[in-house]
Amino acid sequence: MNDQKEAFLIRRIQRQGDRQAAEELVSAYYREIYAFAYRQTGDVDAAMDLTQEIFLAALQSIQRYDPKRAGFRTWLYRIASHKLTDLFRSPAYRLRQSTIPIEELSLPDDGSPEEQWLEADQLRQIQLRIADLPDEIQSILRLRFYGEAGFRQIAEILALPEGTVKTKYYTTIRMLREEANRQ
Amino acid sequence: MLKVCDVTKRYGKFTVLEHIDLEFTPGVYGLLAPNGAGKTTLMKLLTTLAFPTEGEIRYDGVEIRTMNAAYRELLGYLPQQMGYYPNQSPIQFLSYLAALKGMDRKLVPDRVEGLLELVGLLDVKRKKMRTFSGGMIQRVGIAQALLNDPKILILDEPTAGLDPSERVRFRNIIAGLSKDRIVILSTHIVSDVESVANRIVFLKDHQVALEAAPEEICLTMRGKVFEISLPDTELPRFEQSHRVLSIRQEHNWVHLRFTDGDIPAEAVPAEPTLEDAFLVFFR
Amino acid sequence: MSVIYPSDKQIQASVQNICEKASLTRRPNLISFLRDMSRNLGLRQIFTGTWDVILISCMLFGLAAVIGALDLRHSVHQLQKASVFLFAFSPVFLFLLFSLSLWKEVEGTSYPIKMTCLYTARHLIAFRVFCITCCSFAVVGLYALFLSAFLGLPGLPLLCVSLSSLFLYSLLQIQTVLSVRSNLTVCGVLAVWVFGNCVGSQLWPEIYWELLQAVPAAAWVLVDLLLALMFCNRYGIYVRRVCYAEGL
Repeated sequence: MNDQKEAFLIRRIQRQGDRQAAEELVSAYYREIYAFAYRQTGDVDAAMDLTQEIFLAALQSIQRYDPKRAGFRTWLYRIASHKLTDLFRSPAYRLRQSTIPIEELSLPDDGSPEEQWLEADQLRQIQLRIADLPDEIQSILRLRFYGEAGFRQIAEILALPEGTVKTKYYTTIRMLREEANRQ
Repeated sequence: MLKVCDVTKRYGKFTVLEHIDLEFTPGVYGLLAPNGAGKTTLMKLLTTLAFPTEGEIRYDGVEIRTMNAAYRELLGYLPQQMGYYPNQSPIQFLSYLAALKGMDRKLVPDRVEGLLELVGLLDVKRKKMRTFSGGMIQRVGIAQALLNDPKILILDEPTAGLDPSERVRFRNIIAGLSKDRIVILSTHIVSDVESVANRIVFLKDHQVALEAAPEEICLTMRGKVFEISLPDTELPRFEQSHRVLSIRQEHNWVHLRFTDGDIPAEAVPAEPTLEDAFLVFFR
Repeated sequence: MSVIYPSDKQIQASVQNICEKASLTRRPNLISFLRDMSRNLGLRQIFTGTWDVILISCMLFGLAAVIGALDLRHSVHQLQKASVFLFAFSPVFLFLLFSLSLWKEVEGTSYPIKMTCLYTARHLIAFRVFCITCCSFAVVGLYALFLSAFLGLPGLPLLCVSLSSLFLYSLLQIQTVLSVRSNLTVCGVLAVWVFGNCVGSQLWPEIYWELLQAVPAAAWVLVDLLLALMFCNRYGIYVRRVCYAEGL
């Protein structure tokens, strides 16, 4: 979708609450946001739920979206990264993660089962560790790891200077690596 | 989850709140602070009556200003000064606010009746509110905050003007409400929140000084609080060398709770209370 | 890690679901705002707590109107004086109603509660502004017609003159609520307006009257329409604006 079309759709949603336009806009970004969510949850259902929540939040606050201040993708990722930070820190999520039976983890169909389980388990470990970090750093890591975003993009999404993002990212990575080595 | 992220509030050059970070999940939060520590301002920020100079407040990941009407639908608020129209009866007043809260008109009468029963005002439901005592008005205020079954209930000094029996009733109401909702109540009276709050937030010098469960706070004081009985003539001397937390007079004797200073042999260790912690913290 | 996407069908269903739940609404315009508000709240609730204000304004304006009419009865230059009077005083009713109700709302003790409801005090004020403006037009219009019937003066020019100043004023009023917090500007402008018109008509009566008379009725009508359009446009912005307590 080109920028002009996107701007047109957003205007239509803002002014008329046009359902068709909203569907078109969400469809255009669905896979991208889904992928961002999937890489962090490793679970199709959870990722779909999350994607739904992110888009819902976006549509509900679209009246306040101002194209002059940020691009739509930037704005969407900002919402997504806030949602994710909150989700992984919520007590409900932690409880679920610690009690979930292995059989219930929905796993990809390819590769050996052990391998898949190992991957999902690693992901869970990483998530729990990241969730303890301050919000801003969490957002940076998530966008970098799972959103495959460049530092400039991250800086834009979080409204921080690019230098700050870089410094924070590398300091945290160093810290996490030292921690892993100690164990 | 309601989240306050690095919020600073200034009015002109005067800083009222500085770098506040808080997270609220369903449960009762007691916001304790001496007057003027920024309690009311924090309440205003949480109810969108004022906006942070820096930082933001988010509900489930979305900034509350962006949510606009959707956030107000989740909110129940009792301000420090409950405003009302003296000529209205509680039924009229509550129906009026129910309309403003956009409730389904058919459901309003039952809801209003139910709430008036909860706060014990059913027998005066048609009386004009100008004849009400401060405590009764406050109870109407609590009923009004509950009208839309809010997910976030914010009560600013809700027990001000209530007599002791009303306080007890109020505590029971609050305890029954905290399921599935965030209840934040500010007060400067420790006993109001001691038994009902799951978490206590201390505000001091415009910042969050402490956020913990009441038991954890008491635990930090364990072994530091003592009781002693003295003839009242010795009180001034004792007060100079110790930090006295409370005094109870009986004939010519005074019973003291204290902390700090050297511990006399007659002193007995006492179970610390939240009140003790509050006094130590804010003196 | 490779991403496993749901099927296109699932995505489609999810998208539908999202748009369904989002319950998208039109951005409110003047008409939809007024319609929804009166349907959901009812007129009685919207005007709760303003009846005293309405009464006071009616009494004060009624008093001014009677004094004006009595004064005009024995005057030599009836038409000229009537024009000046209407030009200068027609916004007074609007001003009284508006300022008093705004002041009562903002200073009222229930203001904080109202600002946290779904329909905030600001919505209420917006609705009332519109009703007040309409009401004011009706009152001033009737008064102009009354003068023309009672004193035998030409009705249309009088009506046009009074409406133009009223439109001008209502525009100023809505602009004030839109951009400034306090109502002091409006008070100041009204004071200057009334005072300026009175002094002007006293010092240079001929120039002043001729100015009012020289402009043909059609021009007045045109000006009125233009101002009315601007008012509706400003009002639309006011209605759409997200409302909060700060900066009301």
